[in-house]
Amino acid sequence: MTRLKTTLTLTVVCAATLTVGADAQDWTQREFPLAPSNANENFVAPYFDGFYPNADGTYTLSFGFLNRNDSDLIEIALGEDNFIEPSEFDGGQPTTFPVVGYSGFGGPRERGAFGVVVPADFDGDVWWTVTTDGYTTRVPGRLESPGPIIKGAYELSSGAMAAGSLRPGIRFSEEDLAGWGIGGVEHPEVLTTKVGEPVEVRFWAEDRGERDLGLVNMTLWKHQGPVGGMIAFESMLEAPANAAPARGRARPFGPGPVNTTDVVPIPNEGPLANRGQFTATFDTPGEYVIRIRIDNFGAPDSMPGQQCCWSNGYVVVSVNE
Amino acid sequence: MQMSIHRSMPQSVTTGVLALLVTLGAGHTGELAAQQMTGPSPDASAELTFTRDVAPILQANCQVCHQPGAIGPMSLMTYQDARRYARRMSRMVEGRDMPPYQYDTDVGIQDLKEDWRMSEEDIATITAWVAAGSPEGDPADLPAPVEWPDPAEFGLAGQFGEPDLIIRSDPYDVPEVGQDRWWRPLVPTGITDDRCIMAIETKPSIEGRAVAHHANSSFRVDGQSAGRLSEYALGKVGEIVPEGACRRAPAGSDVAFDIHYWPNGVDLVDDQVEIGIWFHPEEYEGKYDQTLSLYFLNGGRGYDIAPHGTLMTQGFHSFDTPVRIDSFQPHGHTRLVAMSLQVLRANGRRETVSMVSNWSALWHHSHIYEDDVAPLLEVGDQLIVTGWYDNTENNRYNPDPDQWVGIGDRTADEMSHTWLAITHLDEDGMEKIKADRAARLISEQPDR
Repeated sequence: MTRLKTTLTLTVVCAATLTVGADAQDWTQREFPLAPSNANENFVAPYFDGFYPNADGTYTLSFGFLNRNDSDLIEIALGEDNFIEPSEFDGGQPTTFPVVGYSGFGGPRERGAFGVVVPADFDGDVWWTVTTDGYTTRVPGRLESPGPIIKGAYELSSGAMAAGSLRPGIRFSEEDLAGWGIGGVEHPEVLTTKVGEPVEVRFWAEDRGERDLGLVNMTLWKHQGPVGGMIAFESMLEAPANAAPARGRARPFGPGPVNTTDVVPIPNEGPLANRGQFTATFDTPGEYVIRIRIDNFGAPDSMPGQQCCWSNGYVVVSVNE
Repeated sequence: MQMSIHRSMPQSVTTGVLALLVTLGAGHTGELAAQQMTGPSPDASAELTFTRDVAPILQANCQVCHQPGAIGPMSLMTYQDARRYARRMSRMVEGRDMPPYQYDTDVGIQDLKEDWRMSEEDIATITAWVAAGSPEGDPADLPAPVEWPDPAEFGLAGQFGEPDLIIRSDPYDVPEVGQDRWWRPLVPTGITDDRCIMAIETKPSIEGRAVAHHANSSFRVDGQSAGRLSEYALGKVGEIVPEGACRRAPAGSDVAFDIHYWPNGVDLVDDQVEIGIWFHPEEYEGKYDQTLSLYFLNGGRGYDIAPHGTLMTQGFHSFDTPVRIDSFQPHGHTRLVAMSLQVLRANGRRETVSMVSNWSALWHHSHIYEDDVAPLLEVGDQLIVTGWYDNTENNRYNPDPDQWVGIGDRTADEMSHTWLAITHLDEDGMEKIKADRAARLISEQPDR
């Protein structure tokens, strides 16, 4: 009798544990399907956007995210709550997840925040796992969809879009050839500064494409950095004479503070044509990565929801006390 | 003598996902309604034969797609063809997977124009014939072969003749592989006077039907938006504007195309999408404007579907004037599986107007209500549109249930809206429609 009771008790305890565990992972238990979005206390969903075949035979897996809150920024440090497997691909993902909102069918999802390059003969999955307040979700980056019918649903292209748009070019010195794409271009140096002392970042960015070329836009992001560490961005760009209001959250043209997801057009005429410039001031010491996103979303075949056309530049900044 | 069938669904040679998915196709016509072709009672199944009972049903419902060179993956033109695929055919029609017209038979309004659904009697005839061993019967009973229309012809041509105006998009080279592309040429219409449109059909090229995912079109006058012309999505035939309403084609207008190509293994050079327009006579004056617009669910934006998860979205819409809902067309991508249209009356009563429980992105039908049953909304009534999504492995069209899925233009992303054609009335117009319907109802009563 004693033995039976113990067994029953263990069974109940195990069942209760399993139930709690399952509930924690069941998104339908966390919110009602038609409930409005929360201002906070919601979680970050990692997204696999698709894969790009590269000229050398490798592939770039594109990842983004959706901060499911209405307004609150979420930060998740690299590590057990924010990691990529296999571990050889870990480390390039963002730690800062702002709330975004794009026009059209762009929606609240940030696409192409970083890329993972896998070899030509890659035959597996690259999983990105994110845990927010104990809630874990993950997605695989893969080259072939497992569904029974559509295998190439997530194939992307670096080629020209219908009207000729290509991903803009970005470079960090005048002599360099421009690079482009989700995987992006890295600043060749680690910049250093102190808390409260602005660091200046200069780069070159230009439209590319098989059409009349136009303006490109700069958007600045805290890609990685200490949780809670704030970056104050200041654009140093003058208003382009030929600028038209960009799609999305365009800020007033000209120098001044730039909040994450603000769009700042870069002049493509005059002595400062295609030159980007901004300062970043940090309030907390640590290692940061700034993502400079350059887009040509003013073109008719270039919008976030259409997975075209932007390129990333990454700048590592070491901030001391 | 040959029987001529005016085709109302696309007939094409195609490749890629469409061909893979279309297991059996079908076509219905106004002239050749299912009732006319109904076979004998299933009680007489022992006597059912292919030549007498089944062949006419296949002619009316299936052969437009299931003939050599057409969109269907197998031919159903001969007894040998039908016998070979008999069990699959029985399964598909019984489950209403074919003909491909996913509209519930037991919920909401059932009287639809361009309705491809097979009658219960025809379904029973096929299933009973298969159960009886698929006997051939007397070859002398075979109906006359059908004179099929040119596959490149407009589907609505059988009903309306050749279009009064055909507008062609500028040519575009669609690559064999690569990501989705959006082609947006602006093309002059040549329309010199405002005209009322009677019907519209957007038609990709035969080869382009496998890759033309969407093709939307709007009017522009002097560069400014001047109303939507039409919407096309994979599998859609056309739109018919009810008598008395006017979808306006403005003088001096251009058509702004918004074509979404999805490279899918077909290398197309100089592909063009055509829009066929049938006008009312010049003197026709539709008193009330009809518009075609997309209506978002859940704001249309802020939704996401968890890996191996499901989702429901919902949208609510009301109008400043009385309106008549002329057609209902759910829109989504690979994870949308069902959509409903309901009306919440001002008195609290909720009516389900339409339900599509087995929706598929392969066939974007515009469900056009028959004139006498098209739902009427008073000011204060509210539309409720509900969509259901399945991101699990149970959804056969789901490319990858491990992924988070959010809003986006691409095929791999999702959308959540419905297209509604709506006639915008006034109080007098609403009262007149009600009175006309009541009068017809009375006139149809049997004499006492």
